[in-house]
Amino acid sequence: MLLYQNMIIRESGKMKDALDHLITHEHQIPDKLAVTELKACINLELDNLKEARKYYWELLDRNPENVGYYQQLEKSIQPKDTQERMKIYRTMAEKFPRAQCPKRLPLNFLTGSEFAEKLDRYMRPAIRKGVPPLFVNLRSLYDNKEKLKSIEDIVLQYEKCLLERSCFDETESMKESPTVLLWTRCYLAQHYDIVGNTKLALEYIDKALEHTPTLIEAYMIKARIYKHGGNIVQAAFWMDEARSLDTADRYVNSKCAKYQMRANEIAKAERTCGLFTREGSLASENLNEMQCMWFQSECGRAYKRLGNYGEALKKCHEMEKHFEEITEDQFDFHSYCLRKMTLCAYVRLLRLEDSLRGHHFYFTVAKLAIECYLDLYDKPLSDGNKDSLASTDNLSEKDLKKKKSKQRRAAKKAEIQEKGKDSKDVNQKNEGSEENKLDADTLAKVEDPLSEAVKFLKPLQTFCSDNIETHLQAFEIYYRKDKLLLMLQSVKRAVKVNPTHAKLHECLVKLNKKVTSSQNLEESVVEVMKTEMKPLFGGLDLLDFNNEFLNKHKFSLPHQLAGAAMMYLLEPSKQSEAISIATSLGEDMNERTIECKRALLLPLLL
Amino acid sequence: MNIRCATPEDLMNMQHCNLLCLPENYQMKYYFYHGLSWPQLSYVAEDEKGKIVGYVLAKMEEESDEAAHGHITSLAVKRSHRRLGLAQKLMEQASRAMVECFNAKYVSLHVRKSNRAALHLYTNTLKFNIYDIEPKYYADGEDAFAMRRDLSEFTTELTKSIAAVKIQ
Amino acid sequence: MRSGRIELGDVTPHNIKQLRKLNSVIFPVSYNDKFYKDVLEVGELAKLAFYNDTVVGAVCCRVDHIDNTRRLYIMTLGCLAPYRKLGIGTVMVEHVLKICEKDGNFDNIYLHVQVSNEVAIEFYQKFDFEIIDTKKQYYKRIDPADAYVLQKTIRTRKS
Repeated sequence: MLLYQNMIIRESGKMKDALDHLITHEHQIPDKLAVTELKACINLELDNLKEARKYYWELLDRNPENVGYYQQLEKSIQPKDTQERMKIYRTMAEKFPRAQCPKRLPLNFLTGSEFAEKLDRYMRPAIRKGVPPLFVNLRSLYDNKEKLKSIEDIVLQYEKCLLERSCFDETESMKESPTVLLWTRCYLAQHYDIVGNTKLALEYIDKALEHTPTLIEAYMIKARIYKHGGNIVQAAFWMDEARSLDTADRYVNSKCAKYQMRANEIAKAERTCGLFTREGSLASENLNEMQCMWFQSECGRAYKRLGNYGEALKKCHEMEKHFEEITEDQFDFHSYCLRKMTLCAYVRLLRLEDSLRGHHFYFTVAKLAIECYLDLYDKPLSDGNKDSLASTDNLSEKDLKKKKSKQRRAAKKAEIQEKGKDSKDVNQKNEGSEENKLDADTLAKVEDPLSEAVKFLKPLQTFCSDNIETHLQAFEIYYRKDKLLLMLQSVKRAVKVNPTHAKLHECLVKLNKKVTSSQNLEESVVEVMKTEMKPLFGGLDLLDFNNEFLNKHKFSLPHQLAGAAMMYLLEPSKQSEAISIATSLGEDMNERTIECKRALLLPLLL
Repeated sequence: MNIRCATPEDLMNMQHCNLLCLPENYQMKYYFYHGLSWPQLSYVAEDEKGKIVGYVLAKMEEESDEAAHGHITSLAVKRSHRRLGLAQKLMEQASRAMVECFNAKYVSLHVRKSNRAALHLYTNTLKFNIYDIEPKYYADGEDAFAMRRDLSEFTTELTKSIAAVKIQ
Repeated sequence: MRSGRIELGDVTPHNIKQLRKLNSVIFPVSYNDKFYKDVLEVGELAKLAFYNDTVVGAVCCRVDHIDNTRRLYIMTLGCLAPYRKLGIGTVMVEHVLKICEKDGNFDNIYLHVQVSNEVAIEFYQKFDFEIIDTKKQYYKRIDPADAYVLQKTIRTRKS
């Protein structure tokens, strides 16, 4: 309650009052962490650096692994050079020898030989211990070319010395365990994978596996290398190998299922997940009940890739339902929180409620749904191609039958269980039965796909407006609806996020073309479009605009592809020229595969 | 790696992490229940991109006839982030908050009898003791060890620090 | 040499494939499904050896009853090449010896070794195993095909 009061004072901007309030009531508030954090943060805001410093040191004593505390402490100390900055971390490292932050964080700001020295000291114990996340912990340093090189040099040096004399360097006399060479090679494999040298990465991981064929992590690395290299089938194979070596670990199991899904092996993926879900019911049902979003979105995406829009949309709607449920759950907590007096958390929850659909899970599902609906609008399902859907589900007819009867049985069972439950949760029960109504076929036969798409779009526009995809998707919908002003709005919003996005170029060209080819437009609309479009196209004629775009982004494949596609759109007679631009990477392809190549390459490169 | 107290915004990502790592899963509502009733007790470990790689979801058992004690509902660290001591660090933070905010005397948890790695962690690293066996505790029929860890060391520490403040 | 952590762990249906992987790399002989099925039933007689938390070796035994004697047969005991001479084999043999001691009802422990495998013979001799027999053509697809029978006597029966 007092903390809530304090929150109100703070939010009205009266920091000094908030601090006084806090000091007066400190002894009545049991949540010591919250009090200290507030004292630290308010003092920092009020520029009482000395006080702030004191509290941040106190906080770090409690939790030496909180990155935020270090950042704030630096703000309150204002070190004038690297040496002073290092002093903070040295002090902490001495006080907490087991803490990771004081060893890792300086690597972000150190450079040159200092960096190399500290890196060496950071890496050796981690490799000795066989810390699997060593690589991911250093990955952010790879943005800096110099540091990347430094890391590569050090680890290659390790490998060389380890092979020669089982030591990290020439001066050491104590020999290292065999696992040190193993983890060094695992590191190198991940390193070369991320710098794009798939071949070398595979060589290193194979050497590691030859050394110790029982190291599960090494199989996972191998799978990831194949995934990054674009061979998702091999990736799924090796992840399954990792999974099979420790079937009690759900993390590997989940990764494996995810890779199988990416390889469009839906049935296999469900079987994999089934190893961890309740026996007697389908894995997908159990996971739906548990609101398992990653599974459902991967599954939906796989169905869409296979052209099974009905099942894909079913997954989307199931997920949309989770978000609905979760929002409703939150209401149940209103009176509960007031009783419990956990007001601060409650207020944060209310704020979360407002932005729940800003979660990346929602973004993924909404994007998928919109894409499905757009496809269905462009190519509505006829009865003819409907039949082919069944066969796309990589199941044989017999399997399919089996699956169907199994589903029926499971549904029946679920129904019985549902009835058996005491009616405590009437609300949930209703939702449950409604959920059963989701039918893939009906979803795929949607009457008005565009307005369905808009339903998914709206939350994105509200909560994910800083993601350019939101506006690109919006454009695609309104383009099909012939809504010029809304197209313009989408384009302008996209420009704000990233004016040089390849896909945005296509939108601009399409918009321009649509405006010029439209007839019987209202005077006012024409006027608005004219004034608004002028700055977007720099006063250029559409053909010149496209040519300039192609020239400007000569070395970017997605941009070249976008430019080529637009060239073809604007002047169908230039098809061959467009194709030669799109295929200038030297790959053979026939004319129709322009679309394919775009579909294939764009997601890879974006 | 960053360890901090969980916020309501974290709950959905904790649920995601749980579904990836553990066989015992809960609906979002249960996470909200924890996060709103005892917001001080749950902690997360996140990587540099802010992705949650481990968490502890904890609550208080507040039946009046027993001494107040905390309970670990769920503790997970992704396999890809093992051997950094994250589980231990998360548990330390949660346990301390239990003592400070709710005067907990001990903290309890359940673990599968067959889960050697977890048993090893709780017994050797985290100083838990087996208190009882709960037959068929898990949905698949497996027994659970009920484990407890005494929290009086935190209590002593706390009283000391309060005393110090008062002298000042 | 910096010392690593050596621990023994159970073979379970969850990690049995690690044992298969190990055996396929360590031994020139391949074992059938029944071998792996039985291994899951023998409890302490089958163990995986972990070095710094990674599986690098294993020992699998069974109990044999022949002519009124109760014998412990070491079917496999081995460890991956890079991890030899680290004391992992010793830990496994000591585990087996401890089982015998605890049980108290074994007459002897025995095993087969390819006659050319001097390292292994020397290793077992350290634990007072002796060559008691040579089985001609014991192995089918490897050369030399002959095997020594090594045995360590636990108790001598007064008959």
